[in-house]
Amino acid sequence: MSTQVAPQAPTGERARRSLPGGRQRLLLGALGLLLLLSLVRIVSGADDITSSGTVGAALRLAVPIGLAGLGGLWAERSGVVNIGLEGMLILGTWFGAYAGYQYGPWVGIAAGVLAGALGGLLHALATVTFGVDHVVSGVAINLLGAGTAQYLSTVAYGDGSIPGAGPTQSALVDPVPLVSLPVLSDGPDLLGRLERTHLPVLGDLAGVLRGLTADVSLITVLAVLLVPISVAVLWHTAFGLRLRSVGENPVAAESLGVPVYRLKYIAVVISGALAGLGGAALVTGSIYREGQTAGRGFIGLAAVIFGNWRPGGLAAGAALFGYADALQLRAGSAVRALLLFVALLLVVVAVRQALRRRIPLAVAGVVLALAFFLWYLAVDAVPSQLVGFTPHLVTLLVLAVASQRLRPPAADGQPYRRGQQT
Amino acid sequence: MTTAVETAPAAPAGPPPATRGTRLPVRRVLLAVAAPLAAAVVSLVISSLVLLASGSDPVEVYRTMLDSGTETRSLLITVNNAVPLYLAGVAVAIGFRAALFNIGVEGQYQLAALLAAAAGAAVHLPPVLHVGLVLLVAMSVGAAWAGVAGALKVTRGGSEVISTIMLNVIAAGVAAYLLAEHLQARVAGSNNSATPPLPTSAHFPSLDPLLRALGVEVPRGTSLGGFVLVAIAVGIAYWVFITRSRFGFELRATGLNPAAAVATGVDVKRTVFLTMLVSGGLAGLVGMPQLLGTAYSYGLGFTAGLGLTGIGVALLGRNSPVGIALAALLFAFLERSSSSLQFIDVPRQIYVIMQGSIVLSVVVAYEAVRRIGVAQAERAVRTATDRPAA
Amino acid sequence: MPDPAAPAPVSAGASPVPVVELAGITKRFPGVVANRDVALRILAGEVHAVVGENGAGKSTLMKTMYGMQRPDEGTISVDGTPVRFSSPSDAIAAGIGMVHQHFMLADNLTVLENVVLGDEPSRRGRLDRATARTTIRVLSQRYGLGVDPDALVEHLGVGDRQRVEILKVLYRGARVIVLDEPTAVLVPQEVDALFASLADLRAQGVAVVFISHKLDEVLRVADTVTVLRAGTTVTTLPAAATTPRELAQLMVGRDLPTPETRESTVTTVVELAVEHLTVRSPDGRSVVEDVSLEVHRGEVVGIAGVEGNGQAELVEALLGLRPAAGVVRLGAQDISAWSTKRRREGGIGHVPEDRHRQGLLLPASLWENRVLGHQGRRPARRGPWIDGRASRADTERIVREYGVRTPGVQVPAFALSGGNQQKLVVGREMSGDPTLLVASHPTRGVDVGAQAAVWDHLRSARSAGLAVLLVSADLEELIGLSDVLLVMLRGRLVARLDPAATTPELLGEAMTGVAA
Repeated sequence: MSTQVAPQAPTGERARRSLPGGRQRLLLGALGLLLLLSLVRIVSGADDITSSGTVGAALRLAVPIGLAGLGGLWAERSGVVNIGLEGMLILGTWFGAYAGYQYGPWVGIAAGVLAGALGGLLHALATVTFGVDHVVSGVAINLLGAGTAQYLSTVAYGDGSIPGAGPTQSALVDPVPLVSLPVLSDGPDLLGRLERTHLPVLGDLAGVLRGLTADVSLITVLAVLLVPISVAVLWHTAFGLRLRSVGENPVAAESLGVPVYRLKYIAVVISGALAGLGGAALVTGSIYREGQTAGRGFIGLAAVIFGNWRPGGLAAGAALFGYADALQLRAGSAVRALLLFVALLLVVVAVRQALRRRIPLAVAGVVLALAFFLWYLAVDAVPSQLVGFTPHLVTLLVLAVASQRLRPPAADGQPYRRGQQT
Repeated sequence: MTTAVETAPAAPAGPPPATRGTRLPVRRVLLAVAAPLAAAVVSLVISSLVLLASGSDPVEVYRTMLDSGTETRSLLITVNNAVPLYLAGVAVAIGFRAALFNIGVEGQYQLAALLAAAAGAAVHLPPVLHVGLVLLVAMSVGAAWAGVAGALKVTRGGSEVISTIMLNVIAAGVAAYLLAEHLQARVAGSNNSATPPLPTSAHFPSLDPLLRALGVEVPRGTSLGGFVLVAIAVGIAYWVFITRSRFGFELRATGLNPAAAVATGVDVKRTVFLTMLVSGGLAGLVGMPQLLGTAYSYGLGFTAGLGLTGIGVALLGRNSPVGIALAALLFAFLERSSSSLQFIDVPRQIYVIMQGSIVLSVVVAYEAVRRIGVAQAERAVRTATDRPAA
Repeated sequence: MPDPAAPAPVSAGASPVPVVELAGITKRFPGVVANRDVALRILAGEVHAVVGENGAGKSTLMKTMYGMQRPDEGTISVDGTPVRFSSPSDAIAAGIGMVHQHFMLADNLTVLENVVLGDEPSRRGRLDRATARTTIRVLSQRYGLGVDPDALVEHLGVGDRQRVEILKVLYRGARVIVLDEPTAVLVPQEVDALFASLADLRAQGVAVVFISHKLDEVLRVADTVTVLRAGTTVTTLPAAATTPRELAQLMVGRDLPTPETRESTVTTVVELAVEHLTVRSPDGRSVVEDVSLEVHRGEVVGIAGVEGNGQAELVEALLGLRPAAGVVRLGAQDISAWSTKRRREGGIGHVPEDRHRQGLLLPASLWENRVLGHQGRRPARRGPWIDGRASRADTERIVREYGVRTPGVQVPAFALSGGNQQKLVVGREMSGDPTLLVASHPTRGVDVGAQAAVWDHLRSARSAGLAVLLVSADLEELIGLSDVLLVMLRGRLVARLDPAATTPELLGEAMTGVAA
């Protein structure tokens, strides 16, 4: 640590997203993105990037990520880091499939939630009561969750008594009902008609809207509703305020009589329950398969960081990651079009930086945009293996570039003991 | 105006990892052993409950495992399997010593194994050099991949926990891509996706001749991989490096008390970055026993999950070279002996539950033991120094 | 709970019942009596200052009053009725609110959220922010605290944060507010604003207990002053009836230790030269302002001053742990841009004020702690290795020479008592053959025997030509060891005194900012 010569200037205002006026900026941003997507679609001819099929799949794929992420958010808001989301997700899939086959999809969902909650309880016991390092406990729970699912599969399905089930997979679970928006996405299907006209912007908008409203599973509806519910509970109730205070400054909270341990327990159990719900969402209408969670628990963590520990941002992150996943699955060649999209986006970013007189960043943006454009021109398709880790790469970039703006709860990850002074 | 206070001598608090005493107080030794013992007991209880709940007889299960696990053939396989676990554990433990959490061993070793296999298959060198080249490539790739997380931590303050988790997935994707598109051996009529096989000059010799010379009968179909010697060498090097080298000292100081390290002139950022490099370099070796000893190429079926299990091994082994060895052997033993359970109709995956519950209970036990010791010391110190300050 | 927005009743009439009375309070800890037979009477609507030196017992007394600990003897009465507090919640319920020196605020929450936490107004399950906002605005206006309820605490300056803490206690119906060293972190304008708020509080019948060592400020704002010294009440007087000089005398006491007569070992060679050193905290405040000093070989320069006036930051700047403006010279070299490691290897030794945080690796063995900070030099260094045997041998030498009581050098550092730990640290720092030793509270929390040993070693090192910069709050230590005394207040050096010739009044006044 060397002695600098110049005295440090007092820190000025820190840029932070403020809520008033933010809604307008958000809307404008969404509109701009839509325009850009439309442009890319027309230029590249990849209709799938705004098709209702892709968007619908994106929504479906975003649900387990988003729910796991919500679980991570609830836990971290109370100051407990939950790396064990993956394990709780797995427990949710296994118990969801088992009970779902035996007793119907809704019971399965309840079972998944319960199983995840039990995982959360274990994590809370280890970290809150025994003060074990949060990450260590999470890693152990991941191990336990995976092992438990493998073991139980052999016990429950190994003898072949259930048709279709085996040591690594369960039997088919009935789906929960689907709903659609009447008239617009159902019956006369007006949005579908508009989408098929392939008109610029309007056609894209219709595709996106229809994708979000046609044949949507009730679980998806539930998952989507949980986002504003989380916002309402955490930011507009006394309980939520106390929970957040525990994650920000547990010593201050304790000094005001807030039951810190109890709130941490509640938050972590809720965290597990949400992850369990995410797991159940994966198996409803489908089967449990070993390894099917495929690291979604960690993608959920990535979404928490991407969303800056707020449910809205988290949902946006989950949607983004689900979208990349959906596009890859349904129309791998269309992923190439996204390269063009990223290039154009970078150009927009570079222009903004130039307007703010940040020339080096603007130049970097232009160079990157050029690189992506050349990549777009040069290949026919983006290798599927590389698309798979887009969420993780994005998270790394967020960590690298925007670490100043990230606002985790101030006491996140720190062990707390009742009666400690600082 | 003095308020000088005689502070009572603090009671010892749990096994201190950095001490190597010649005369350990009996109480401290007991405490050191108490935690793993308690954890083992708890884990046995949990596994027994799970077995009972699924209609199996725990005693029979344990007996079967013990019997089959102690056969010569099983023991050899156990040792073989323990070697990569040991390397992974040491890689993680080096990070732990500096209070760094390298969860990225998984991705580091996969990528390292792929690139080392490809490099090894692409050249022709005399035997020792060839092996050396493969090892060098593996360690460099592992170190570089870990270095990304390290750089992120020291320049932007990004948590290495998150970045290594993300890098694991990215490594898997990059490895899959490279293997499928560029590094595969094109063999007509074969579906297997793997790098070209390593020439024999890159094969690591087995220790069977040594065993036979010692009068041990090596059962057909198994052999003791020579990499166990490398593992032992790594363990010794780890111990020497951590306890006797200057950098190892600064590494431990950074992990024990970063504030004191900074105040006494240690360059903490440099230390953190270099530690990640070393940890990643070691991680690169994790895939080498399999690559150089049995598989001779990297393919889709390459053993996965060693990095995560390695974390458990390091935790159980308390970051000590001998402890990690015992932990690795235990974990490998559990896995190997559980394969006999299929003969009594018990799912072999009970061993994963055993491993997971051991890890969880051991960290709880260590923490509980530590708190008991610290609480005693704290009480004595706090009441003595809780004197008027301002 | 009384409605915080309702106006507080103003008591009228002569000899009113005190809002809070502490009588005969005694509190002991192993080895020290922190409070002995302390008496304190707080009346409604008065500003009552409690003054005393470091170690006088103010902090312990406040903890007792606030329910954080229970007294061994004595009673606490609220409105004439004896009460017993088992936790701060009891004190809050009785109307006593504490504003700690280190604020307890959540940066990422708004003022409103911080204030109502734990006592939130709810309407049908929903957090009733509107009601909370109104209540806060009413309180804010009535007591002259202008705070925006929706501002994020993170964006608030220190003065505003303090006001939020005051709001917190007022919201819970506090009738007595205890402020612990409230001006320690404020700049002069903020101090004025705070005093204006205190006047408003007083006008509304709220009692304020103001703990401080800054006598000039105390007399500006207080009605009554209680002086504590060595754990007991010296006296209580109306502020109008005393002068700063008198208070300083009462605080410091008449029996200053007399320094031993000795031969001066001060040479003319300047070992440390500091020129116009300025250190700023991250929020822009200057914590060390334009400090210039010299330390010669064979000289001990003592820096006196109540803690929190920039001494710690000065030491850190000299060690290269904190960025600073200005020039630092060691011998003939300009070391202003040197790293900590380079400075230490260049000959600076450092005995830190918090040995647990900055000086030792508690779980590591004694000999490894001896190596700490010296791993690049002999005897520890042998190429890229640590020479364990030589280090252990040298640690045994330190143990012998400095009288560290330990069964061996393999013992972990946490097993030693504080005094022995400190002796080890001092021995270690001296073993690097420093030319300059920066010692910060070197005998804090150390038993008398160890203290004497440390002083002996410092003296003999000084005779051998060591330059020492000694920062301490222990007047006996400062006067006994220093060749020259500098006094630091609010980041500046405000006085230069001869320890042999100084009087308690002069020292006390300089340390507490009373105009001579």
